[in-house]
Amino acid sequence: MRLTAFLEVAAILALVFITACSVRVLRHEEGGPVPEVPAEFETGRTNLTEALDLLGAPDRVLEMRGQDVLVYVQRFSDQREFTLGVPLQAFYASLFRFSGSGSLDKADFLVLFFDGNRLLTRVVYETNTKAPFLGTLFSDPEPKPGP
Amino acid sequence: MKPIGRTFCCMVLSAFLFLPGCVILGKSKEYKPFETAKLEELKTGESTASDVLRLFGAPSEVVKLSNGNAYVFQRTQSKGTGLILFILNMGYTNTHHDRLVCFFNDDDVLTHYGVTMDADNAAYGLP
Repeated sequence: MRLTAFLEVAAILALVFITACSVRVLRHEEGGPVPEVPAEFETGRTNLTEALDLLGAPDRVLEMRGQDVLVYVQRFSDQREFTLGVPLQAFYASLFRFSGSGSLDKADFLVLFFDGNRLLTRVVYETNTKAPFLGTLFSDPEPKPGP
Repeated sequence: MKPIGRTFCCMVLSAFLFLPGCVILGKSKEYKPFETAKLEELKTGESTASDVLRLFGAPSEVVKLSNGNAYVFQRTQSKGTGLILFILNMGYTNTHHDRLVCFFNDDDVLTHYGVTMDADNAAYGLP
């Protein structure tokens, strides 16, 4: 009987203390999926009309060194936070508190470059969607090749 | 522990577990869909920048290109979901756009245009 009472009190205390803990997960997605480079795309032959017909309107248009650039992009933002503290924190802020948080922004890109005749000159496709949250946050960046 | 004590404990536990929870739904619209009839009025080689402005109003962005300009018309729809539970808080926002990009030559004549209708795909959800 005493054990049961002890367990009940312990459960209540545990719950009270857990109220000082929190886990927060926030995610933001913007834009539709970025299409892969269509098989029929060929630099020097594909023109702007064909690109727009196949891919629709780009997310960004810009001019760069005499070339017109179309950018298709889908963005993701992940934020996660874990906080461990004690329940009196609301009244006495200097009590013990452990908190960890991380934020990871990812994006998939398809970038098309067109010359002054509106012919495709270059294609860049990059996908980062599948990058794991913790694995990416805690991994060292890969060294870039030298010049 | 007496039955009354046990009942009290259950009430306290239930209060901790269920009272703090809530769900939040939000929606943001900077959004008026492009009319199909107006899109059909766009004629490459014929329509001018003035025609396009008359049809769709002020563009969201104007970009200077290598030989001409591009007008970007964008409509945006966002939906957000929040779930606040005992110790777990989750939030999710999803933003999609309808976009029309019109390319003009140096004489302000429409040479190309592209349309993406995606704003309706904004959705509620959880991370």
